[in-house]
Amino acid sequence: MKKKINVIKPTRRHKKRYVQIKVSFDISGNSEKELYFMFNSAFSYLHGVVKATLANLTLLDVDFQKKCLFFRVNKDCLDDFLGSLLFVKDLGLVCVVDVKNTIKKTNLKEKEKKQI
Amino acid sequence: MKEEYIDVVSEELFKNNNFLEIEDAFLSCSITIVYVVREVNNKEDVKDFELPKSEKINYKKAYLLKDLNVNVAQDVVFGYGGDVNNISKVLESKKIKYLFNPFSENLAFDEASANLAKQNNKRIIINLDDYRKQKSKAIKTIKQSFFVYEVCMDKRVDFLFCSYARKIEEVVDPLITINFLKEFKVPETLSKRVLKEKL
Repeated sequence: MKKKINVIKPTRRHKKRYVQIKVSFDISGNSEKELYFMFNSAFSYLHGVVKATLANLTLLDVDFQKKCLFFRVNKDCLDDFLGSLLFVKDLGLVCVVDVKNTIKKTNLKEKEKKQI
Repeated sequence: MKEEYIDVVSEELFKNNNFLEIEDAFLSCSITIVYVVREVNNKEDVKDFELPKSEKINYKKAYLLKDLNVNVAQDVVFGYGGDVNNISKVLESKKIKYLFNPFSENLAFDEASANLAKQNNKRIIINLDDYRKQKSKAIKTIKQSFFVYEVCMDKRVDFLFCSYARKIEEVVDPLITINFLKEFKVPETLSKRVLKEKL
């Protein structure tokens, strides 16, 4: 006898936001890991490690020429993340260029496809 | 429509950095009105100074009195707070309209100060750089901020947040300021209005 397909439970997926940030200092000497650490430590300085983990901050892409960084963060923690940018050190002036709702709007996927 | 904000910076910013880079920094943060502040420690400091000329950004003069006994006949004059005596002096003064830095070692700006500020139409200027100092000092400022902002909002005292930048990297994007102020329960509409209101 065929087994019944289980009803899919509502997922616990969090909504995301995509943030484009521009810095004034040259970042070509920094690795992506170092850059991520700078932003993550600023976040945990202000909000603590638990919230920093819940925010699920991810560095998606770095444009070393334009000095732009693309981050993904949980929607619930977007304001906290933007507020914590006050404490980012060693990257010069930090500006929020854009905040998008979907990755499609950031044109990041197209860029990745072209690279492939 | 693009938002336009104001900022208050130190005179030293223009001495130490390239003018084009400074202007670029302001424009990338949508800052279009900038008050350039000269610190006045004694009578000799009260001299006219030249402002940078620009078509895109409106630069204005301001003076910060560290010695409150010096007289400056200018429109925008800040009185430096920092302790109980200075704060009450500035709030009672008829010549000084703006109180710069209401924070000190111990809580100095209380409900009575807020009432006095409202009565005498004073505006409080808060330096965001205080939050980025050493951790022990920053913690004190953060702790006092919760009370000061609550009292100011309750008594409807005007305030303004500024970067008081001495270097380009100290300029703060107003979007970051607005989100940072949410930590202190300052509503977005209020902080946006405050950051746009001219002195």
